[in-house]
Amino acid sequence: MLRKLLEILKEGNALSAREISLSMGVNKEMVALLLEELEKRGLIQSSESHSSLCDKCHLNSACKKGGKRYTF
Amino acid sequence: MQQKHFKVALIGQPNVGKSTVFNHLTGLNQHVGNWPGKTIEQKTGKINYKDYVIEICDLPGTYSLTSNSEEERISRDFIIKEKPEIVIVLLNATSLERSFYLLSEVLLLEVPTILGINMADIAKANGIEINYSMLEEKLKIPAVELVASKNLGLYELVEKTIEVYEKKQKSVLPFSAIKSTHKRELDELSEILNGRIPKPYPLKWFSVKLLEGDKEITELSKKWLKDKWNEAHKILERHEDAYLDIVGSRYEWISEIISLTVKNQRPQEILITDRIDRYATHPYWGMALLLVIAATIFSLTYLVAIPIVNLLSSGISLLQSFLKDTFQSYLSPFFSGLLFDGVFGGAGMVIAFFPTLVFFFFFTGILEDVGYLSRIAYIMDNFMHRIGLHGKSFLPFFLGFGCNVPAILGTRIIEEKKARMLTIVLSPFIPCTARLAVLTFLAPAFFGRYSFLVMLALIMVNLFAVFLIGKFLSKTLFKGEKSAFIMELPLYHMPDFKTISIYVYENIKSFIAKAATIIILVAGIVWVLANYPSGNIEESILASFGKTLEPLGTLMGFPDWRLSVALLTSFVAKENTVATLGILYGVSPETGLSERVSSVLSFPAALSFLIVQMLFIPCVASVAVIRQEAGWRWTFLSIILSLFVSVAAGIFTFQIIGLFYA
Ligand SMILES: Nc1nc2c(ncn2[C@@H]2O[C@H](COP(=O)(O)OP(=O)(O)O)[C@@H](O)[C@H]2O)c(=O)[nH]1
Repeated sequence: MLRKLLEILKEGNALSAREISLSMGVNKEMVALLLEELEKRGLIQSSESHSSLCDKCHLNSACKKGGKRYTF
Repeated sequence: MQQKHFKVALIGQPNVGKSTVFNHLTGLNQHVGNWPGKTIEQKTGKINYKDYVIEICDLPGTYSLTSNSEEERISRDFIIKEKPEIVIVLLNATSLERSFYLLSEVLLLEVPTILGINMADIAKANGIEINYSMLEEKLKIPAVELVASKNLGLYELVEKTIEVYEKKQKSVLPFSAIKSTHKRELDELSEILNGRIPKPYPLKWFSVKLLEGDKEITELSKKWLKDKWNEAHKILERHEDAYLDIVGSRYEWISEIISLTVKNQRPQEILITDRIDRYATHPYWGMALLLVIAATIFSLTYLVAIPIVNLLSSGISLLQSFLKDTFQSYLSPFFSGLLFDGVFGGAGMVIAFFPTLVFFFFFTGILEDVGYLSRIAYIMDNFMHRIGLHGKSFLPFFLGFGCNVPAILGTRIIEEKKARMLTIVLSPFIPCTARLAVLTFLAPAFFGRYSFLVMLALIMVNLFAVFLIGKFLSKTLFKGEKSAFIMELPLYHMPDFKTISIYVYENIKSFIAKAATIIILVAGIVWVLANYPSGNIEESILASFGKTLEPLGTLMGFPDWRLSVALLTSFVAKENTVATLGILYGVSPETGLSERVSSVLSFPAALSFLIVQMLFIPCVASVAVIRQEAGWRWTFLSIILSLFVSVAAGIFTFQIIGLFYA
């Protein structure tokens, strides 16, 4: 399961949590848990793409609010 | 009758309600201390129930039993070494996935276990339905529904605990601890470990944890295996990533159990959202739709706002001349000029901005509220990936559309210094909201009913620039690096007028705050400089300064120095361009800014001005952040680069378009 998620991530696309959960056949909570696991093990690094300065911007949700970038 | 004594451990993730359960079960019969040699609190207590005295130990809150934290080590050492007769695992009914992971680790220790599923009230309220009998059947262990805060189910939990104790059944692992692919390595490791690890440690568990790469177990193995360690180490080295399968199979089991025993209704909204998103977030269709929506917003904004802007501008000018005429005689000419022509003129210009902004915020507010706005990043990211760009190479640029400051800070995700500096220097080329707002305001003044087409074209040019920059970075600095972007997309829903009004209000409020301070201040200064020393604007110091820029301005098609000065004032805040134009061109009730500006600017010159405005030196705030993040050298480079690129683009636009326009 962890391998499968890694493979999906390595495609390097933008993904919604729901898309991943559909393609893996698990729910979104599970996806979040698996991502955490991969990160804890140092296989992926995440960066929150939202800074507190963005709170003032009226277009902030068009940017990356709620998004996380993962690199390997 | 003889009392029966036995020991129980209570384990669960933080905030699952463990203390609540513990307190209800033990009442005053509890003892609080510290774990030996640790700063972590240890709570023990006694339950006297029927003929039983149950000693209960509250283990520290933890998500797993790997040796990553002190809490995890304490908990597993307690279970292994103190050998409680029963372990009560408290699960959180609202986050069963996470709770089940801890359960899977407890089960691996093969101790008799009981489940207390707490927070059942919240789960029910959220539409989560748990099939308890199915769960018990699949796990082969009792499960009790609890609402600890209301003392519900705790009595049953104690009854079940006693029942399990009396049955003295051995626990069986309801899933396979290891995938068949790693069975051989596990057997080999067990063989090496057998007889060499001290008594309380279960051999199978120890072997699994070693193969999984558990830090503490690895250290213990080194110590206990001595010269045999090399043999084990070789196996581990060959199967370095075995944990992906071992841990992965635990998650597979969890997922399977959850899908069999938990029902979470999918509301209609999810289905609708999925259906819309099939097109709306499609990499190509989604992009096309995005462009259509952007075009619609601009044209709608202009359609409704322009007549109001014109009305408002004349109204403000009328008020301005009225106030000036009325109060002029009471004030010195300098003061009345500063107040009415400078401050009022500049600020009035900006206030005329209002309707455009209100409608723009209103339309984006609708998009935000229905849930579309948050999909833009996703659509763009997807599109950029499809055309071969690396995510990191355009992330900061997206942020830049809101404001360059977070974009520059956003480059922190780039570890490599050279790449980061380059991205910082390029970020200001993305038009931030303030620049877009200025464009939104000036475009109709310059281009009338074609303004929305011009706006769209300018934005496309910018996106193309992002694309080029991204392509360049992907091909050079981020070559071979991979990244994925995951986001939570909200469900679509009907717009709520109240939420949208608040959105508009909040945004207008912050705009007014800016207008009331920095823009008015700069307007005042500009007016003073434009009227010093003689009161004749053409002889002012601002004019003589502006005239030194004239040769460059002429190349870009600017008919006089005023436009260059307006651009320069945008360094303080981008909106100042508009205010400065208002002051320098002396708007009157009869001729608004549109008429004044369009009478002096040809089409190619107007286009060139907007493009320069869009690419010009970033505002002070951005420059300050660049300095903070990259130092003076890069800041200087960034300013020079913006200056050069904007002027070059201006000259290019004017000269090329001029050829066709003549
Ligand atoms: N709604 C609800 N709240 C609960 C339940 N059990 C505990 N809580 C609340 O959850 C919070 C955390 O509980 P606590 O016992 O401190 O959690 P611990 O960190 O596991 O010790 C407290 O505010 C409790 O009142 C429950 O079954 N339902």
